[in-house]
Amino acid sequence: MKEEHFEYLEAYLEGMLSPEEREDVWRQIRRDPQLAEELIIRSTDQAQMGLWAARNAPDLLAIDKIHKDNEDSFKAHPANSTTGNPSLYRTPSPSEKKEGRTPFTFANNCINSIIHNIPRFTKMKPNITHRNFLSNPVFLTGGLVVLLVAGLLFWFADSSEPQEQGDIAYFSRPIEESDEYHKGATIVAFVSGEVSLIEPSRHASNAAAESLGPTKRPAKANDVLPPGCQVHTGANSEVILLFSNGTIATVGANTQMLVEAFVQKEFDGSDKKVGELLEEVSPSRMKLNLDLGELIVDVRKLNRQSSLIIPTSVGTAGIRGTQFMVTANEDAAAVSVLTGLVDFLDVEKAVYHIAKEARLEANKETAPKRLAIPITVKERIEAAIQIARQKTGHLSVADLVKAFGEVSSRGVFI
Amino acid sequence: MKKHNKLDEGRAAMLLMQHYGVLYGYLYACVGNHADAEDLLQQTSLIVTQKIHQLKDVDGFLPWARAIARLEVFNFRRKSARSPIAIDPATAECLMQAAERVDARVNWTDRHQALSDCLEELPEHQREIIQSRYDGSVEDVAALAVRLKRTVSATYALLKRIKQALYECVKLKMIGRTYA
Repeated sequence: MKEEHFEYLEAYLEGMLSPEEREDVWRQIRRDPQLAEELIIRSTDQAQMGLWAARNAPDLLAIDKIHKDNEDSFKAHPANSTTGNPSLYRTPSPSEKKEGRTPFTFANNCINSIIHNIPRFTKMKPNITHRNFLSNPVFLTGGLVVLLVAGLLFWFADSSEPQEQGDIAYFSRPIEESDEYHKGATIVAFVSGEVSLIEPSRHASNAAAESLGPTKRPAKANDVLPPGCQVHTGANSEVILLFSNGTIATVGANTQMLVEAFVQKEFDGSDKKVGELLEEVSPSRMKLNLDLGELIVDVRKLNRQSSLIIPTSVGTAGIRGTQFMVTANEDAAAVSVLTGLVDFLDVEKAVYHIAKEARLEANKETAPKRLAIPITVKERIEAAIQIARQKTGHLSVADLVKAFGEVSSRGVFI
Repeated sequence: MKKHNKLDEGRAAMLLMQHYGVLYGYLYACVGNHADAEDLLQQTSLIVTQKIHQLKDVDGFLPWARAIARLEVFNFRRKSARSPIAIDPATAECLMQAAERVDARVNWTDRHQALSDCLEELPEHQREIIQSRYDGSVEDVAALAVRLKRTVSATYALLKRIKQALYECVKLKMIGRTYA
């Protein structure tokens, strides 16, 4: 079984899929008997993990003790002798006889004890990217061959040599308000732990407000932020941001990020869910400064006029529609790309292409190096994107329009 | 060996205990979340207990009980017809057939034992994470993340990695049993 299949079934069993994706899993199951069997095996294994955990939990340790205390009164039921399982069928103890209880009562209690000790698991529902390759083995095989060839070429390539110089214009596209472009909005979709926002003064014409300077406050879900907002996360904290062009970003722990600039063309609302978007809702230009920490971004396909750049201390990532992670500190940065293509403009103004499942590490001392993406990083990006899509899955394009309108009418300076 | 034709509620409870994991696994595969699978198993257990006298042969218990479970899945779908999480009957049927095929080739007792052994062989930290995830002491991955002092996505990724390691371990142990 392919790793992708495993991930798909695991996401299903963890309740991480949207209704549409669950339908897709069921379709695949109807088509592929092996996949159905694998699902049965995995779901049964996880049921068994629940039993194992319940056996080790304090409540059932108490039941085990009762069992041990009454051990002498147990005897094997004849029919149970072939199963190899511990017997639950026994003759009534003297006290049970006295109280009129039957052996069945105990057995039933065991069933109930186990059933009631089955944990309440997560009910996270949506969302993960569609993986229609499950239904297309030809595509899958072809893709693997292409990946293999690309991997071999990549292996022999000089990793320190920039690939293109012409793409530098992408990094210098203007990101400012105009008749066409208006301020974009950032919606706080999910907050975990300590997350604070530093907002710019809301009305520059209001001298009193301006004199107060930026305001710092805790972030909360459904906040709508203008460009110019800083996001700071503490230890073990995380915030998921949904931008009004449909881009989703997970800001990891101990991170300092600034939505330095974000403009977008007007667009019409609809009931379409954000999770269903394949491309951004309208052309947009965005600059997210990552001073410190980790940022995982899920970008819908960008319009040709659009740009998304992420400056760090040692270079700038330029994105065209992809899933990737950027980590940065004062002296170094790394860009890990799960899907799509990211360009990296280093301090020497050289552009490096970072392809699917590749990673580029840059620091102030040496030229950037390209590597294969580590499996742990890949899993980290996948997991973050699944969760981010789940947390934003209920929002529609109409919600994006509403937030966009709210920010555009604020008169906030970029 | 003499078969016990007289099947009563006590025997039903024992058989339910014996096949708990497999029945739960089928329901969990159908609905894809533990809370609904748990409710469905309780309902199935009730009906199995009430109708156990209709079962002619104890050897046929598992397919019979699974058929009842499938009917409960259908009822669940009817009750939550508008719910996006309700599985369609064709898929439930397909999974039932898959479960019967798996029954024929997998020795569940051996597999459960292998899984238990693999769980015990996990590094302590990983074992504690699986314990925390499945013992009901945390509500969801987010709550587990708080306990582990990790982010939610990092916790989900870690959990996935541990489970994959477990599946690999079970696979190796089952191969070992086959050729032992």
